[in-house]
Amino acid sequence: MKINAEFIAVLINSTIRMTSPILLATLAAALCSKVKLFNIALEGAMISGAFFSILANDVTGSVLVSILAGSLGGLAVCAIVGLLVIQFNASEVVAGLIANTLMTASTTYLLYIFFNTKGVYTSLDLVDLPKVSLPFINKLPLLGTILSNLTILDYFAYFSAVGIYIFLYKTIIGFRLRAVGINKEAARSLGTPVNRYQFLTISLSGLLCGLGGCLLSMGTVTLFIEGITSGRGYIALAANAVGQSHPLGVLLSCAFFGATQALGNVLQNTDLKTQITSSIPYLSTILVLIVYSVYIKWKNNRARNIEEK
Amino acid sequence: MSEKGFTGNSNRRSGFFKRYTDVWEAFLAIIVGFFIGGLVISWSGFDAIAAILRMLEGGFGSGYYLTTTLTRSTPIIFAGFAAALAWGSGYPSLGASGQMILGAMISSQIAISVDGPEIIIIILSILGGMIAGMIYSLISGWISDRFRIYLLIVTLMMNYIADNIASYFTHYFIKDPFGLDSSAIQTQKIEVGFFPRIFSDFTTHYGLIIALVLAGVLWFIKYRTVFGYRARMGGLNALFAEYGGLNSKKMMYGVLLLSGAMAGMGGACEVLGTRFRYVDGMISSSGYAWSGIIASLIANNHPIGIVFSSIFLAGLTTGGSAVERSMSVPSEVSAIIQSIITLLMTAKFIVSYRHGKFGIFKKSYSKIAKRISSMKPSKAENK
Repeated sequence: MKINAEFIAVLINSTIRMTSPILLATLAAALCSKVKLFNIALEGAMISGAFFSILANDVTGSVLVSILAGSLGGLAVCAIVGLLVIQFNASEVVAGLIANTLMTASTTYLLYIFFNTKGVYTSLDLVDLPKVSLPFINKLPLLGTILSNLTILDYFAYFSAVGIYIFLYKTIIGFRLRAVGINKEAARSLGTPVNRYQFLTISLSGLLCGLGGCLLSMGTVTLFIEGITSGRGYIALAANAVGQSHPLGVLLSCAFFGATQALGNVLQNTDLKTQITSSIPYLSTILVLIVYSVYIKWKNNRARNIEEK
Repeated sequence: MSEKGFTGNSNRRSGFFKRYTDVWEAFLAIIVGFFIGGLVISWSGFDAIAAILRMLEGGFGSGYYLTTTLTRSTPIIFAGFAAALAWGSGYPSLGASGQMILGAMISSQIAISVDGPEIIIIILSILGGMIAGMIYSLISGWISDRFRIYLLIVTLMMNYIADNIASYFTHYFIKDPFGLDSSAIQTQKIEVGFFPRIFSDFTTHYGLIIALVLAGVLWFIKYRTVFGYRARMGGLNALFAEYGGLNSKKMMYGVLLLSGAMAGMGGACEVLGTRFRYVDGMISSSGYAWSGIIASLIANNHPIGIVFSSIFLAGLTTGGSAVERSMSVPSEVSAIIQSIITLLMTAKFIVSYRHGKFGIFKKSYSKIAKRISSMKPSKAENK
């Protein structure tokens, strides 16, 4: 393995591609925590999105329909969880976890029913997500490598981070939405339909997760594997905690988690054992949370010291 | 049912239907769960009634099936205890899977390497499994407590890590050197010091007896001791319990240690009872820990209830594989039914119905809703 500028460019490119599904899920988590919902069903929504986009892809062969199907698949999962949590007072953790197991089991079931296979499904008839090739930048030596092989959904993920920032902080609806999270009772007393806001937010988060799942199954390679998300929904929760639920902060924390996954993939080609490389994302999640918590503590202490002086 | 009966907050709780709301809730959820499962099966082109009957027969039908179910239920019961202890005290931990994996691996190593009378080997090996589970649980708890991170996230990540640790060790350090099949990633077989079977012809082993005894012990701890009372109060309302003088930090470590011990013991019993060795992925691929969490949720964290719900869930799973063998319906259908039952139970539909929560359907299904709302005194919708 030679480490030179080209290698680093490939690594950055891989990081960008690894980040975008996590980013979509983390934005979903951020939206939910803005309305005081702890949505743990992200994982299930991603699996659902990944499966239904492949299914629609196989049936229709149209990219647009499969993206739509994936996002609706994710939306359905989160909407059901939202209904149970908001309307029927189910515990959000329990309902979310069970939704995850339900989606894991039912995608495996449906995989067998539709494609008569267990484990993996791929086919030559499946259509890939269209790759965006920028006219001039493509020719440049390093930047061309960095921005190669990116699909439209990758770009969408990064733009949606900015879009959600504008939505949350620059629009009236976003302002009301944040008010629901800050103080539910106060928001209600001002006439905000709190339950409706929460329900629509959790549905929107499902849609984002569905797109993330679609990106997983149709991004780099077009196939569906059982457990394709491999804990990304949970990692998104951690990334959301580090990014403090701010759409742009989340962008940074996701970039880090994407980098660890890219690094894990790169190190698989070296002498390191797969068990070590495949624990890198999970280990680094815990480490980042620890470092972040220590940093916050240090910052608070410093602020207190300055006040005392 | 009088109209008064539907007011949710009436203090008078008499009458069979009202008194055993939890049991009714479970019963209804199971019926509806099977119904939806049946719909799924018939939608995919199989005979739903035959499949469900085959599932129940394959789970509980004959001596052979029943003992297979009981064998499968043993680790689920332990994982259920682990989940019940943690969740019932307000510390939702998902770490049972990782703790079981490490417990299983350590106990298999102790059973292989220690010499001596059989009973000593068994005790040492179970103790080793328990300690491994406790240590791993303690690490998660410490990280969560010291750095203020969600215990859920920490334990989940630790599960993935534990799986990789165990896989690493089984691949490179403790792999069976004499095995005929070198592709099988497993440790040596335990020759002396495993559980005897309860019935000589069937696989059910003494781990089940240990689990049943533990159910009684845990029930006693939970409902008859100060520790259990405090843990329960912490689970009901953490702030209130702390206000009442509960040391929540001490409580958390106590509960997590006990929960890790249960999970580690479950792993050890699985090694000593069914496999007689540690096989890579034997715990994580069979999903014992998840079933345990579901079992504990269905039983509302009650130790005796967990025994029954675990046996029920294990029966569904063994029945599911029977259905797959004979009718080629994918065995995941049992997992689907399990999840639907649990989803329905978390929502507490009967209680919601009494509180008038079904009001959201009014606009779309106004006719039915009118009938429902004429049966109950209407409460404020946005409560």
